[in-house]
Amino acid sequence: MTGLFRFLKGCLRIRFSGDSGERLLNLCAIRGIELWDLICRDGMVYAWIRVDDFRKLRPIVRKTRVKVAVLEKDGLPFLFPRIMRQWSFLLGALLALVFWIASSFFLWEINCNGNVQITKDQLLSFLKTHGIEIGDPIAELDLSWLERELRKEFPQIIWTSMKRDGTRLIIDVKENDLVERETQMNSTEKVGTNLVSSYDGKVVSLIVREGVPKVKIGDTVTEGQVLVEGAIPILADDGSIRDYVFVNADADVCLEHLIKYTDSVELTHLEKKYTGRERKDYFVSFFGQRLMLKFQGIFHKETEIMETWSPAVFEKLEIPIILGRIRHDEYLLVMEKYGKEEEEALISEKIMEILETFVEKGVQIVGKDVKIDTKDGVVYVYGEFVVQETLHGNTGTEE
Amino acid sequence: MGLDSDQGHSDKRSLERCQRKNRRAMKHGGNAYERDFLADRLRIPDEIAKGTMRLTFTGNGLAYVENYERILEYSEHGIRLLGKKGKIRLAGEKLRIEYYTCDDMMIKGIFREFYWEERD
Repeated sequence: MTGLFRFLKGCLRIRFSGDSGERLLNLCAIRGIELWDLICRDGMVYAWIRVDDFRKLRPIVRKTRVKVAVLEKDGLPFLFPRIMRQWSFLLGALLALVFWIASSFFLWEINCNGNVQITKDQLLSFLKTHGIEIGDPIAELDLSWLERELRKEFPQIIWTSMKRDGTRLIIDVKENDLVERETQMNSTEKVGTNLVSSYDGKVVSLIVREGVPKVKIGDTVTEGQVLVEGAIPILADDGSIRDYVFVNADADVCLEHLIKYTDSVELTHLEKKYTGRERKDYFVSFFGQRLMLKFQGIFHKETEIMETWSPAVFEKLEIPIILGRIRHDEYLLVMEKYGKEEEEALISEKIMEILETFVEKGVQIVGKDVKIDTKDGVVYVYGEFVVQETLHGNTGTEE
Repeated sequence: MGLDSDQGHSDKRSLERCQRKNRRAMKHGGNAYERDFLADRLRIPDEIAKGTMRLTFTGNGLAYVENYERILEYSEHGIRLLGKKGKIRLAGEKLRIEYYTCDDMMIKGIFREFYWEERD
């Protein structure tokens, strides 16, 4: 505590020499002048003294005829001696403080978490329609009302939480991914649906959970043919149909069918050749307004890489100032021809892509036949895949 | 007789002189005796009752002095201090006064010797 007090007041390292050094020490003690860390070396005494005490030392020095020299200055008054005297610095510091405090009363950032179906733009436009935009006073936000409105506006949101974090508004939402399916099912509940074939092919397996099967294993079906009917007949005692119960046909029907695939790859292509020339532009963006600092040099064709940096004060206060740099790299478009190895890699990549789409769909490949033909600098790929694909209850249905 | 009477007069005068001296002594120093007597009976430490110097050493590197009156001499190799009843001299190397007030003082360094001198 004493050290802090001394630092705030400021202290001096002094050296005094003369015959009456001891007398000076005694007079200092009597008059309450504090000296500390006294070292005697070569007949001279070195000591620390507070700045305000140093002023009181003058009459004692005169009385004792001791020579005093200041060797070192330490403490806050000496830390920024010139800056503290500059009124412009003090004014700037004051304005910065006022700006910082004033900025903390406004909303500067909106973060959305947990949204998948609803985009951030949708959420921002929702906030805009409810009168909330970046730069609005943060104290006026009625978060509970906003949460209710958000749930009303987007029925797929089953839970939402809005909170303020400094000058940031954080919106956490949880969406119901079954809502789309449920609404579809609810809308067709009273009508019932059939399961129809999407391809021409042969039935390999059939599992019916709901509905009346219209085909059996081994049957050949055409596209659009009803596989499982959603109208279940209710028979009268005499065997005649009295009524129908309409259901959504629910079955797993595995169809074996043929998929034809054609693709082409051009052996020549345009390639970017970087010349090595580059240019850097700098900019400052304030409230969406960008001030560019451009340098000479216009390139015919160029790629742009933008790097931005937003200064954040104490991580809580986001200031809408963005500093950035745009790097332009010049390139030329050159017509290039693929080599033999590149060509093969490109074709196999194309085939692998189609095979991956089959795997994603859950399609099982039973047989394949791929032909490659080159004509006029273009490689054509012809493929025929025999696949087994399962049609589920809610695919390929009709009312 | 005459002689006797002269001697008798001179004895009487010397007795009166002694009595006056004793009375003067009692007048000036009597309180001190009473104070010492009381301090002894009440077991008050000397540095409080008589204001004598108190010197505390911690090893040979730190000394703490209380009830001193004045610094008589200060150098790298020795410090002399004046107290009410006498003077002390601390001798050693690299002696440094950590802090001091008009009552107490903390000295650091390497202490080698310590002397006590009677007050003049």
